[in-house]
Amino acid sequence: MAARDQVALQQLYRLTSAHLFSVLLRMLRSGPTAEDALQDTFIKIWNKAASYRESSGLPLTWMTSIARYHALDMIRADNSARQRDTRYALDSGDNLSTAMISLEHDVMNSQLLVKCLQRLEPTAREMVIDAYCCGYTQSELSQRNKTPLGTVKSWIRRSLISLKECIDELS
Amino acid sequence: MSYRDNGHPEHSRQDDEHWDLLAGEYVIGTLEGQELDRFIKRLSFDHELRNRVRHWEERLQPLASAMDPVDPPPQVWRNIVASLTGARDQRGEYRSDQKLLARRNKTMRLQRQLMRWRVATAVACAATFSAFSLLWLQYVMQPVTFDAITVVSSEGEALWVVDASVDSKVLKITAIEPPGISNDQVHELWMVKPDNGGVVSLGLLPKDNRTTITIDRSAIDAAAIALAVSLEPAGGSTENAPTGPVLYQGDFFLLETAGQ
Repeated sequence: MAARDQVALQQLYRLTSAHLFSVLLRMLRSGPTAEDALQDTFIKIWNKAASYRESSGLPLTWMTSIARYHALDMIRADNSARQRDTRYALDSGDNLSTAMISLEHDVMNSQLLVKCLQRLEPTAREMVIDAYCCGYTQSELSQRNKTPLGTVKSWIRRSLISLKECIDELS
Repeated sequence: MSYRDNGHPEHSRQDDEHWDLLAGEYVIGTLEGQELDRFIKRLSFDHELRNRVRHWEERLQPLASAMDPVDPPPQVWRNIVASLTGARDQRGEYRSDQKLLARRNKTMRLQRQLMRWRVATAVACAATFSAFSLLWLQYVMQPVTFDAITVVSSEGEALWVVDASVDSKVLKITAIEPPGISNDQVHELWMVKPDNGGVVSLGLLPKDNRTTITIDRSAIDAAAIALAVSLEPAGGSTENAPTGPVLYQGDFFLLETAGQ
């Protein structure tokens, strides 16, 4: 770190940590786990910053992706949805309660996506949001919705095709 | 799938749809098992696939942006600093930022006998600190050493470098790509004092590429809170403050003072 600028990173942290922490809290459903993930995320951001280019995407999108992929790795490694739900129940007395308020409400505040999401079947929409925002795997979505894995996969793929067409059209 | 002469994979339209869909699944996180492993492996060399992923990330980013922000506990930042400097105390706990900085600076002083100035941030275009991409360019894409300030433009181009690492008595300011100005204009460097204490001129910045000037370090107030660059008539401001527009400004930090 001696060769680079800690204060620069701190500025970036001030600007983005609350956003990234919110994303991680939703996915990992545990305050302490999300804190660890946020720490790892910023270390990755620090290490990758020199190779960042405009072609890597918008900065906040790039950072959010680093956070989400890190959380997904953690989820795939050792953190089933059931464990996370249990953790959330245990942690629900802390500030998680503010992070987990109506997901549907938050998403609907996003004007860019709302029209496209509304075009999806309700169950398919819920699956896409649960996967993206909460880190549910296809197996977990299958269990949660009591739907065969193949059907979940099919719904998600159809939803992605629909979303892509719709978002590209609106943008 | 075939490959072009240059070795890059060539996708048919069917392949395009297939990989685009997989990219979408990868981004929302539902790609699993061997399919995920193959996808990640392919990402390492398939530029087009990385573009597909990036497009999906941007399409779906509003989902993430819609979430209400939640401030993390203060210890997260302290842990990040401790991780990046790789130090924990005897109890296995991370040291605070201040202790880490002091320890690192002491080591650097003993090892290198360098001056004690430690300046920690690039200087920014004065305009809008809310423009995130601008901040990104300023603070991340133009990292600076602890011994120098880099004055960068809003496009992230280095304009001048203020080097405090060579001599303990002077600051060396070298022009890298100073913005073009007419012969009857100059850029002047200012130190901003705390508590509305006004500004003090540190001198005129060099106009020609690779030209270096020096400023007596004793002119720097340890309590200064910012540096700024203004556009002035030839010879510099005739008053005790900028008479022209302030083009760049940025925070100034002194982490260690001489004699400590």
